[in-house]
Amino acid sequence: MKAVKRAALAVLAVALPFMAAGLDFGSALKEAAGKAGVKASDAQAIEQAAQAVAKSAEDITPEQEYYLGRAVAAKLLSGRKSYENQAAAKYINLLGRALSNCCERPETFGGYHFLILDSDEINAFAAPGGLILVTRGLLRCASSEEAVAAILAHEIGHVARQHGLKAIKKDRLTKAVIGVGTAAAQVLGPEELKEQTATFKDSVGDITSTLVNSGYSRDLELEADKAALENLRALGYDPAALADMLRVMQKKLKPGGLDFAKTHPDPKVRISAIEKQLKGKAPPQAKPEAAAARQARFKAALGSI
Amino acid sequence: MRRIGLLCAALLALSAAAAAEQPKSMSVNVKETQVRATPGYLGKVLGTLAYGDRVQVAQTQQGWVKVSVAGKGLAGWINESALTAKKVVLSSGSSSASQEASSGEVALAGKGFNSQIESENRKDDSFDYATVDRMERAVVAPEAVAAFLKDGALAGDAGGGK
Repeated sequence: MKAVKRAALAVLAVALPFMAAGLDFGSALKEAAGKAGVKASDAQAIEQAAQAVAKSAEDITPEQEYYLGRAVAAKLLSGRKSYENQAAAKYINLLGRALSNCCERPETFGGYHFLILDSDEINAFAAPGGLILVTRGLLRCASSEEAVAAILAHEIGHVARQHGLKAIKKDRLTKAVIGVGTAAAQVLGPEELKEQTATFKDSVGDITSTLVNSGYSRDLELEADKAALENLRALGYDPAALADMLRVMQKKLKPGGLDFAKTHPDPKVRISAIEKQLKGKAPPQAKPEAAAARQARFKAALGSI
Repeated sequence: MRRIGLLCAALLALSAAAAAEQPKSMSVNVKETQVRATPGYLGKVLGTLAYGDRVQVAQTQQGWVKVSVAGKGLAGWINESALTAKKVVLSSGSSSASQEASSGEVALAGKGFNSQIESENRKDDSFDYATVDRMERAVVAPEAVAAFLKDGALAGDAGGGK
C-alpha cells in the first residue's frame, strides 16, 4: 500500500504539468502514470482514487449548471440596473448569438443571453450556462463591431469552458451533486430542501464572489482569451481586435479600481499572450462594403452608449 | 503462431473500430434543440426536440450529429453540444431510474440543484429573477442571425466545429 502511495505521489507530481497544459485531471493522471512507468494495477487504483476527487465538477449536469447560472445572474442583477435600450440589446444579442453559434460549445441548457448593465464601471460577468452581463462603461471602450465581438467572445469562452463551475468549493459539490444522487429523484422533504438550498446558495456565493471580488486565475483568463481568438476567427473577425480592445481598456482603467482592474490580470500580460498566438497568422479580410456595413450597424446600436 | 498473431491483429482492429463507433443512441441534454436539414446553424429547421428525447445516431461531421427520431418521422442534424451519450431520465419518480443513476450511464434530470431549489431560493429577495427571466425570454430568430451574418459578410456557420 505504501508503494502505491509513493507511486501516486510520483504520478501526481508528473501529472501537474499536464494539467497546467490544459488536460483535465483524469487524463493528466493517465498520461503521467504512463510516463512514470507505474504498474497497470497501481495505475488503476490511483485513477480510481483520482476520479473520486475529480468527479464533482464534471458531475454537474447542464441542467444544474443552468439553475446555478440563473441564480448567479439574479444575484449580480440585484442592485445593478439593466440598460433599457432596445436597439442596443437587440444588437448585442444578435452579435452574441452569431459568436456563440461558432464557439466550441454552441448549445447550453438554456442558451446564451446577453444584457447591458447601466453602469459606468468597466466590467463584464459570465454566469454559468451563458447569461452574460456587460456594462455600458465597457462597451464605451469599443469603437467597432470587432471590439464588441472581442468582449463577448471572451465571456463566451468562460461559459464554454465552464470556468464559473470551477469556482465552487469541492466539498459543497460532493454533498450537493453526488451525495443525493438517488434521493433527489423524488421531491425533497423540508429538511433536505433546506439543506440543499443552503448548499446551493453557498455555491452561488462562491461563483459570484469570484466574478465580483477575486477574479479567475490568470490561466483561466488566458484560456478564455485563447477561446475568444478562435471564435472571432471562425466567424470572420480579425482576432487582433481583442488585443486592441485591451489596449484601450489599459488606458481607461484606473489602477486600484474596483471593477475589471481588480478581477483581471494586467492587460499587458494578456496582450503579449495574444500577440504570440496571432504571430504569423493572416487575419481574415473584410471587403470594404462589409466593413462599412458592420461599422454602420455598430454606430446605430451602440454609437451613443 | 503466425496465425494467432494475425488473429490478434484482426481482433484489435475490430475492437478499435467498435471503440471509434458512435453510440447508437444519444439523449438531448439541453432544454430544447433544433433538428436541421444540413449540419450548421444556417440549415433549415425541420423540428424541435426537448430535454431527454432519445435520438438514433447515423453519422457525425465536424461537431454535428446526423440523427433520426423514432416515432416522429424526423431526421436531420443536431449540434453535438446539445447531446449526451448518457441516457437522460426525467425525474417523474420511477424508482428504477434512480437506481440506474449511480451507474454513470444515466443522467438523472432534476438531480441536485433543480427547479424546486430555485423556487425556494426565489423567496430570498436578494436575487433578481425577474430580469433573468426577461433575458431568457428575448428570442433571437435564426433568420435574424442569418441576415446579420450576410450583411456583415461573416462566416458564422462553423457551428462548433473543433
